[in-house]
Amino acid sequence: MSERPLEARLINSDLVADLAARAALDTPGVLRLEPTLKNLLAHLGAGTAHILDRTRTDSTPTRRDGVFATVHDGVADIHLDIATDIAYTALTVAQAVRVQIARAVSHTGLTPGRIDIAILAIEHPPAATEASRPKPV
Amino acid sequence: MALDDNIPRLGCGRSIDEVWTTIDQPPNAHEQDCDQCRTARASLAQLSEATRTMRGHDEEDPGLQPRSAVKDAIMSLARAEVRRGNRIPIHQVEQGVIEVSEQAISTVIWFGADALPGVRARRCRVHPDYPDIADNPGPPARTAGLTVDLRIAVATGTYIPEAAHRLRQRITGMITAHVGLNAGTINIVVEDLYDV
Repeated sequence: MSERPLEARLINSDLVADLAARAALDTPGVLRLEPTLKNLLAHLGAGTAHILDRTRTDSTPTRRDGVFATVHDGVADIHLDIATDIAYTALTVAQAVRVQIARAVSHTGLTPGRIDIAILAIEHPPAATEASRPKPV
Repeated sequence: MALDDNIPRLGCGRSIDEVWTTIDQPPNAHEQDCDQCRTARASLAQLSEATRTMRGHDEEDPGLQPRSAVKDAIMSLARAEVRRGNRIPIHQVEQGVIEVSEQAISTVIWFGADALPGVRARRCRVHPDYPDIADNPGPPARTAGLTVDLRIAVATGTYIPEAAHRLRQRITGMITAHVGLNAGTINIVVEDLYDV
């Protein structure tokens, strides 16, 4: 057995954002995460802050394309912007995403807080052909 | 008059901020007669000019301009956000809210409407039946219904009451199946006829 000590690993908003994104994309009916203008500007702002060497705190929100995550006092709050496949019921997909994200966050030892989900597009998957498209109800 | 000790003041009692506020204007009567104000204005005028010059350089400095790819990304997302319209809260529980963009619902409605022969969907607006759903969760969960305002064109010779009835059925089915909501009122305006 190695005597080398294990490295401590902090569960921060970056990791939570990654987990949320992965959980969402693994949920059937989710086509993609949707970047928004707020997302992009926040990203650019974070880059500027990094350049200016501002202090980053644990509660600083993390933005991925379509994901905002904040960890504060052991609670993870997440906002997700998604596009769903028209072959699925969008509300059902969003509810499933919320369940999957809450489960993934729980596994980190954090408490899932608010999980807000915005469905920004409902459309056919890019590779869908006319034949494979769902019949209109 | 109570003076705030934290604000630097000239010997005449005026704050340096007061002088700075009017630096772009001609000196008033007091400033013309007061040596301290005149000196302060002369110093601040140099600062104002230096600031103006630096601002001008920043606007022209290519190193400080956003790259065209960044500008394109911002404009592309801005246009997409305008197209998406309002975000409509459709489901609220204690753990958070689920919203859907007006454009996403409209896409579903257009898809359903255009599949009907003799009907072409045009402008579509969607409103939640419970606009305050995000503010008032209410136990245990609340799901909004929708009101749809749809403008259409129909082919000449189409029997409009029958077409509107079938269109309402189609929209109700599409919203239930693909969005997961109940369509309440569906207002249809036939605004044009087209030749087949």
